[in-house]
Parts: sequence; structure tokens; C-alpha cells
Amino acid sequence: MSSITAFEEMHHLEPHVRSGRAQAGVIMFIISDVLSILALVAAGGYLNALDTLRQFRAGGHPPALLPGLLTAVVLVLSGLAYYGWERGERKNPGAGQRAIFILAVVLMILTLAGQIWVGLTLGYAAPFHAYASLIMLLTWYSAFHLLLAAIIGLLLLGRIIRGRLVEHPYIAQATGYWWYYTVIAGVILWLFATFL
Amino acid sequence: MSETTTTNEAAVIVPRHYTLRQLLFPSVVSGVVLGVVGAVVVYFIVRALQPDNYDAQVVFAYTGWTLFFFAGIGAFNGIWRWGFARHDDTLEEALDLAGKDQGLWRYFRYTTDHKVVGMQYLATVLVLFFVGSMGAFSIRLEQSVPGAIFFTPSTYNTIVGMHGILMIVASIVMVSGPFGNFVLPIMIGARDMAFPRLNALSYWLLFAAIPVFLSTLFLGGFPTGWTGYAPLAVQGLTPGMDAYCFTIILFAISTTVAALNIITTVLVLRTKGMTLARLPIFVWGVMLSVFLGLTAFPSFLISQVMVLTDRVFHTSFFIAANGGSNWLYEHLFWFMGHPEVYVIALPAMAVAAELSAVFSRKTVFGRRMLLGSLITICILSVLVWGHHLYTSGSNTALDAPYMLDTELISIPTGFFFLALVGTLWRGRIWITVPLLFVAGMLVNFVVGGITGIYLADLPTDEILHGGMFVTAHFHFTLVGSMVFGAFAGFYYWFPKMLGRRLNPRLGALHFWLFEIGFLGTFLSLFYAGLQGEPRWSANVSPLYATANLIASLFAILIAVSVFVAVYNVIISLARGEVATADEWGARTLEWTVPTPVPLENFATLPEVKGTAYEYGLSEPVDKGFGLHEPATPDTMDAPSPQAQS
Amino acid sequence: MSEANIDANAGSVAPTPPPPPTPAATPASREPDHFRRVLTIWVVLSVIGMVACIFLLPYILPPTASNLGSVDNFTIVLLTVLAIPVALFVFVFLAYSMFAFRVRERPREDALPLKPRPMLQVGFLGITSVLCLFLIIYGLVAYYQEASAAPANPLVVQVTGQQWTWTFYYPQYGVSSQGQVLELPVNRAVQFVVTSKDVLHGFAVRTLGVRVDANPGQVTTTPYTTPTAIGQYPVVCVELCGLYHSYMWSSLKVVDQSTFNSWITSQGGHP
Repeated sequence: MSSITAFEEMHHLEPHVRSGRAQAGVIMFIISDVLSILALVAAGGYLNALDTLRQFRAGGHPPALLPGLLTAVVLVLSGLAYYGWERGERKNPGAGQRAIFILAVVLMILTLAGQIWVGLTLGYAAPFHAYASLIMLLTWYSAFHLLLAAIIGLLLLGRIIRGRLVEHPYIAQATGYWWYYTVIAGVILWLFATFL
Repeated sequence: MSETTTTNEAAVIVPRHYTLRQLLFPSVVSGVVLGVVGAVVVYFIVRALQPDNYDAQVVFAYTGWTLFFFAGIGAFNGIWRWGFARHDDTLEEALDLAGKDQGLWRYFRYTTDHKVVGMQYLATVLVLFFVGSMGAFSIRLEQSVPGAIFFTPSTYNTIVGMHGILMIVASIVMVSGPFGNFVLPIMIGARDMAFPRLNALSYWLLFAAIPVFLSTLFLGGFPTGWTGYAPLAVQGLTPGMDAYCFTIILFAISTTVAALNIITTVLVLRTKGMTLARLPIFVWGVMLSVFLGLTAFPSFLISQVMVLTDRVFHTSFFIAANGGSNWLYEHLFWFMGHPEVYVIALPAMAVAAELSAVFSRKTVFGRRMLLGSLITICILSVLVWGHHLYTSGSNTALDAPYMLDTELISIPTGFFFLALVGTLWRGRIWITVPLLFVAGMLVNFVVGGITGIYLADLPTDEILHGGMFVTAHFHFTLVGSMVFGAFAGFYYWFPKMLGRRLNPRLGALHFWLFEIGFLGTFLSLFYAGLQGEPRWSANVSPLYATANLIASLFAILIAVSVFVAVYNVIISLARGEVATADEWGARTLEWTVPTPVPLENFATLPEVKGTAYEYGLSEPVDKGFGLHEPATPDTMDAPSPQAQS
Repeated sequence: MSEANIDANAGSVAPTPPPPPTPAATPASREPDHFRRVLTIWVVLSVIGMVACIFLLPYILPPTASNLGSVDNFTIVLLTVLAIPVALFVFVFLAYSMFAFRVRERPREDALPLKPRPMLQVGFLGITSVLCLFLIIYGLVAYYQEASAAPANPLVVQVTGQQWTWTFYYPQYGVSSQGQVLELPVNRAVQFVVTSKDVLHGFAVRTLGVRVDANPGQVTTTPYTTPTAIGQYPVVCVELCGLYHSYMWSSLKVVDQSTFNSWITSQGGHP
């Protein structure tokens, strides 16, 4: 047998270490993002409760229901598609239907487009009072999330097309954490913005 | 170019030769060039679209700088390759990223080797401290006589803010950056961090933030001090404020990435036998600190995003007339702000604990007690931010619970002192420069901690808040304790990281000048604070003139100490004694690898069988504190042979 | 039993082990009782320090001119007196260790390991908790006494902060203070109701023992405080509010009742 040098050992991590590493990294990234969202939501609730000079809602109307609802639905569908693909991957690495994954990515990109449309059609006028400011920040923060997920989806698609997913089965799972998190966070933010 | 040939014994990796063009592209040079080009282009585009919105022009210019800088330094290459490369990185590609065979150039590129990143952090931290202390001496100069004589009020406020934020940033990274990166992986028996590319990213984000921050000098400065309170931060005035906000955003991302990396490294890359229970205290301290940072920095990030949107897009998160509130800013800021001082404190405290064992040649007194106290401090610190808002008028009903929790933190802190004092007690104490700094830290931390009680106490806070008493308190804790702890680590690990010994006489001189100057300066400022002097005073009232003059005179000693330290570093690097691999006789793993440390750290990964604190007998003799029974042969075990293998 | 932080079959941590440790033993009869010594030094210095504190600290603290101010000064003295033995605990043990147990060169032998007995930890926890609890209760009691005071016929002063000056308005008399002077009658409880026109400011009168932020769009109040000594005292801003923050000074003049009444009349109000 050939012994591997220290250099090679540097480069080769065992699969269970790679898997643990991926999951730990994604989970902590999610924790950090959850706290950002909590900060936003808490800020909204706090300003609402304070209602300084009774100006919190002045000049601001709740966002229109239909665009946000449609976007949220497409987002959930994207999550379901990803789940469908990931289940296939887990049973047999490399066997996940590529078409379903592409569907998940496309749906995520559609969600992003929808969210941008929602943002552009909110209809508030400057100067934006606190409520309007909050809705705008939540909307574009959500869009940023979706952009991240779309980029990750495209990168992962590239990897699948190149056939580099089979040796790294944990990637589908770890990316899944972020994907489902984006879906859940997006829905929660939509509910919060619509019903604050 | 390079070859690997596998023989029966080992693979041979032929050294690679790099041309200058290969070294420069990508490197920090190409990053800066592309970043500047990007910033300028974006600036002109936005200026064409929004000619009156200076804040928008500046903020988008910063965004352009950041994206193009990272493109230029090659940060996106790894992401691109992750997705679209034809094959996973080969060994050669990974070693190329790790800076193999690139000589000193590897410090100027997007290098993934944790030792390189550690050195980059070390150099940057020292520069930040130096520039920040120039700010401090300017402040002391202005405050040495009544009236605003040397600087205009606008310049003075900017100097105060710059001093504050540069020092805060430097002290957040001063232990976790250089030593958390260089030493920590070796200490747990790993060959690198879990995410080497993210490691480089965390450093270069800090680097990218520096020009953004310094640009405030050309944009009119910023008037808010380092806390950046809105709505002062949102007031029109000059775009210099945007520099501050954007710097924080970059810095928050940097620390989040670093935290991810450090925690994952400790969780998954420990060598065989290095259980969590056997982790050195230093590793625990850094890990707890970055975890605290992970949870605290998002709210800071959001607060700065909100200030920027208020400035650029005219939202009203903090404008009372439109339903916003400055209390929102204060809560978001201090929810980060208080844990942040423990982000600063925990690594420095862990370094002190680590060094107290090494330099008394004695096991840590109550190791689990000490770890428990650090964990308790970590948890409690998240719940106390309201004590910065006692006098704000917000949520006065919660003042009592905040006071309760704030005072409670003194209990685990007490256990920290007990552990360190007990470690030194009856040790065989080798008085080295690192140990001097540990001793200075303990002395200063006592004063800092006790004066915190005055501020935690609701009635007395009412007369002390916003005055120089607060300034003196946090300087005693952040500088007198934590920076001293970082310097202890600096003198301790310098021989391992740079291969030279720092001159111990100059080191001792640095310590004494610093400590005496520090005590003189800040005890005088305590006095001034008790008299009622407010903070942020360009125009010091004659009432406080004497105390301020004395403080400024003692600050001269601190200034001299800074130059002594700089001189020491320069001559030690130039012609200092070469250091040995095991400089101090310590037991942690980094002292078992050669100096300079090879790229792969260990020839073979070690197997750990105990903790690093097993000084003395292999079987610990339970003598209890101070009640020492005479050591006679029949009550003591001879050293067990197993201790030798 | 107590923390077994070392494995029973402790091996060396590293592939290249350190030199074999030998215990540093000294015969009992020649060894001084370090612990008794250090405790004695600690007790003696603590007593000296506490006594010095009680006598000297009142000279360091600024003169107080209100009931709240006196309480606050007393609290500071109390906290300092309590702090002295705590601080000396660390200073004395540390200094003693550095002198008594130092070795000149790099030590060739390890020191005997010491582990804390459970009683020590429990005792330490108990003492620090008692101290902590005392501080908490003391602070809460003082705070609630302040907050729940309800004096008869208090004076109300509305304070408005703006960049970079304070304005004082007496709603009970319809008088605004021109210039930079806050005039108050001695021995009458006063409460400040504070707000701001632009950014955050901090209204602080050290001698009255009050301090509260001035927030735009909000109104905050200080506890009731009673000036007890006639004189002139500073009023300052303690929250950084921009360019001339450190010039945002006013003057508090505490005067007797008749002077105050004539001042009110001179400003166009009705006492």
C-alpha cells in the first residue's frame, strides 16, 4: 500500500469529516441569518408598539396580498421540488432526477423575480415613515435571500452537470438546509409583512 | 510544472517556481487596482443617476470597491470552481492556494494557509493598534488643557470615533485573529482550518474595510463616536458617516465568517484523543468568544443597514418625526455591544489562564471551574445589554432585571480570578514578559470589574453614566485587562510564529511603562468622572483641568511604551536570537512542532492522551487550597513511568 | 471526587514528551506558612484601606447639593469600602505569589498540582453570592425609594435639548429660562421632564444626582430631587450630540425662595 504524505493528508478529509464540516458550516450560517431576521422582526414589533408621535403607520399601507402570495407559493413549490430531488439523491447518490432539481432552481429564480416585482410595486412615497421603511427593508432582505439561494442553486447545478456530486453526497443535504431555510424564512417574512 | 511521484515511502512533491506575473495576478495588488477602478466607475454611474444624493454615491462606490476588490484578489475563483470546474481541486491546486513556494508573496495573496492568515491578522492588528493609539494621544493632547485648542470640534469628534472603532475592531480580532488562526488548529492537532478559503475571506474582508473606513477623513469625518448613535448618524452633514456604517457591515460579515470557521474547525478537525473535555482553555475561550460574536453581530449589522437606508433611501427607522425611534438603535446596538466586550474578553482571559499554568509550571487551579465560569459569563452576557440604557428612558420596568443579571456576572468573573490566583499560588513562577502582562491584566481587571459594579448599580449609574467614569471603566477592562492579555499572548507566541525571540528587557520595559502610564492616566480619569466630567469633551471645563492634565502626562508613558514595543519587534525580527521549538516548556501541541512551522503542521497527526496541564505528578495529589501537607515520600507517588511515554 | 481532570493513566500529550516531572518537596519545618502570612497581610491591608476610604473618600467626591446627591455619595463610599477587601484579595495573593514562589531561570521542576476542594468552591460561591445579593438589594431599595418618592408641591421643569443648548420651561409659572441658567429654589422637590428637538442628548446635573436622556419624540422624567445647598453648579450634556456637544453647558443656580419668586416675576411669570 502507498502511504500518503502529510501534504496529501492535508488535502484529503475523510467523508464523515467533510459531511460534518458542511453541515456545521451551513447550520451556523443559518443561525446567524435567523438572528438577523429576528432583529428585523423585533425592530418592527418594537416600533409598532412605541408608535412614536403616532407616526408609525402614517403614509404606509399593507402590501397588496396577491403578488406576495403568489411569490410565496412559488417559493414553497421550489422547496418541495428540491426535497423531491434530494430524496432521490439520498436513496442513491447521482440518481436524483436532474429535471426536478432544475425545476427547483427555476422556481427559485422565478420567486426572486416575483419578489423584485413586489418590491418595485410596493407603492410608498418618500419620505418613508417607519412602517413603510420596515416593509421595504423586509421585502428587499427577502430578495437578497432569494438571490443567494438562486446563486447556490446555479452553482450546484453546474456541479451536477459536471458530475461532481456523486463523490460528495453530503452536499445535497447541506445545501438542502439552506434551501428549506430560505423557503421557511421567506414565508415567515411574508406573513409578518402582510399582517403586521 | 510540478509532479507528484508516489513511491513506497512517500509522495515527492517538486517545488514549484512562480513568475512575478503569476504572483501578482491575483494578489492584493490586482485586488486594490480593480477595486479602485470599480469604485470609481460605480461612483460616476450613480452620480449621473442621483446627482444630489451624496450618500448614495458613496455607499454604492463602497459596494463597487468591495465586489471588484474581491474579484481582483481571486476570491470568486474558488466559488466559480466549486460549481463549474471540471474536476475537484487537485493537491497541487490546493497547495498553490495555500501559498506553497510563494515565499513572502503568500502574505499578499488570497492564501488559505491558516498560518499565513494568522500572520496577516497579526500585522493588521498591530497597525490598527498603532493608528488607534495615535488617535488616543491626540485625544489626550486636546484634553490636557481646557478649551478646544488643537483640533476643531468636528475633527476632534472624528478622532474620538476613529480611535474608538479602530481599537474596538482591533481588540475583537487581536487574539482570535492572529492566534486563533495560527495557533488554534495546531493546538487541536489539525492541519488547517475547516474552511480554508473562508479563512482567507475573513481576513480580506477586514483588509477591505480599512480603506473604506479611512475614506471618512476625506468625506468630512463622522460626528457620532464609535457607537454611531442615530439619529445623529442620520443627520445630513457629510457622507463620512457612511464610511463608518459600511465598515461595520464588512466587519460584521468578516467576524461571522471567522466564527463559522473556528467553531466548525474545533468541532470536526480535532485529532485523535483530543476530546472536547481535553481541549486547551485557549481553544475554549476563542470558541466561546466567536460563538458569542456569531449571535451578537447580526443585530449590529442590521442597525447599520438601517442607518444606511435612512441616509441613502430616506427611510425612517430612527427618525422620531416619522414614527422611528432612537431607542430602536440603542437596543439593536447594545444587544451586540455588550456581548461584544465579552467577545473581546473571553480569548484574552483564556490566554491569561493558559499562561498562568505554563509560567507557574502548575496545573490550572480548578480547570472545570474555570471553564464553567467562562461559559456562564458567555451566557449571561447576552442578557445584560439593557444596562447601557438605564438612563435612556426606554423600558424602565426592565431596569431591575438588567441590574440583577449584570451584577450576577461578577460571580463567574470571581471564579476566574480564583482559578488564576490559585494557579499561581505555590507554583514555580518563572517571571517572563508574558507573565508580567498576565499579572498586569489581573490587577487592572480587578479595578475594571469593580468599577463596573458602580455602573451596574442603578442609583449610582444615574450620576456616572455618560461621564469619564465610564470611559475609565471600559479602558480598565478593555485595555488594561484584555489588551494586556493579548500582549501576553503576543510575547508568548511570537517565537513560534516568527521564529525569533523578543528582547525580554525591552519587553519588561514595555510592560512597566504601559502599566504605570495606564494606571496614572485612567485613575486620573476615574477621579474626573467622579467629579462629573462628561465624555466626548473637546472642550474640557476648567473644573477638570488638573485631572486631565495628569492623565495626559501619564499617557506620554504609554506612548513611549508603544515605541519601545515597535522597536523591540523590529530589532528582534532583524537580528534577534533564533527561537527554539519549545520556547517555554509548555504542554500544548503547538510547541511540539518545529519553528518555523511547516505547511502541513505535523509530520504525523498526534494522538492525545491527556490535557495540557498535567504538570507535576501523574497522579494529582489532592492537597486542597493552602492546606499543604508536607511532602514526605510515603504520601507522594513517584512519577509514574507512563508519564514518560 | 472533586474534579478528576486528569485521566487515571495520564500519558504525555505530545509525541516528544517534556522532561520527567519531579515533585518540588521542602521539609515542613523550614517552610513558612505562606497561607497564614498572606491572609494576615490581606486582613491588615484591608482594614487600613477600608478605614482610609471612609475618611478620605468624602474629600475626593464633589460637594453634593441635594438629597439624592447625598445618597449617591454615600453609595459610592459604601461600594468602595466593600471593594477594598475584594480587590486586595487578588492584589495580595498575586504579589505574594510573584515574590515568594518565583524562580530565577526556566524551572527544571514542575510544581505540585493543587485542586480546589469542593468546600472552597462552595464557600467562594456563597461569599460572592452574598456580596452580590447585598449589592442588588441595596441598589434596588435605593432605586425604588427614588422612584416612588411623592413629595408635596413639587416643582416641575420641562427641559428641552437641542443642538447645542438647553432650554428650561416652568409650566407651573409660564416662564422660560432665557440664556443658560436653570434657577431653582432651595429645599423644594423638583422633577425634570425632558425631551429633545433633534438628536439624542443627555441631561445631567451631577449635584442634584439626576441624569436622563433627552429623546426626540419622547418624554422622559427624572426622579424627584431636592436641592439642599445654595450655590452655582454645572448642567451638562452627557450624550454625544454632534459638533458642540462639549459646549452644551448650562448653569444651575440654587437660590432661596424669595429670590426665586422675584426671578419668576422678572421673567414675566406668576409665582
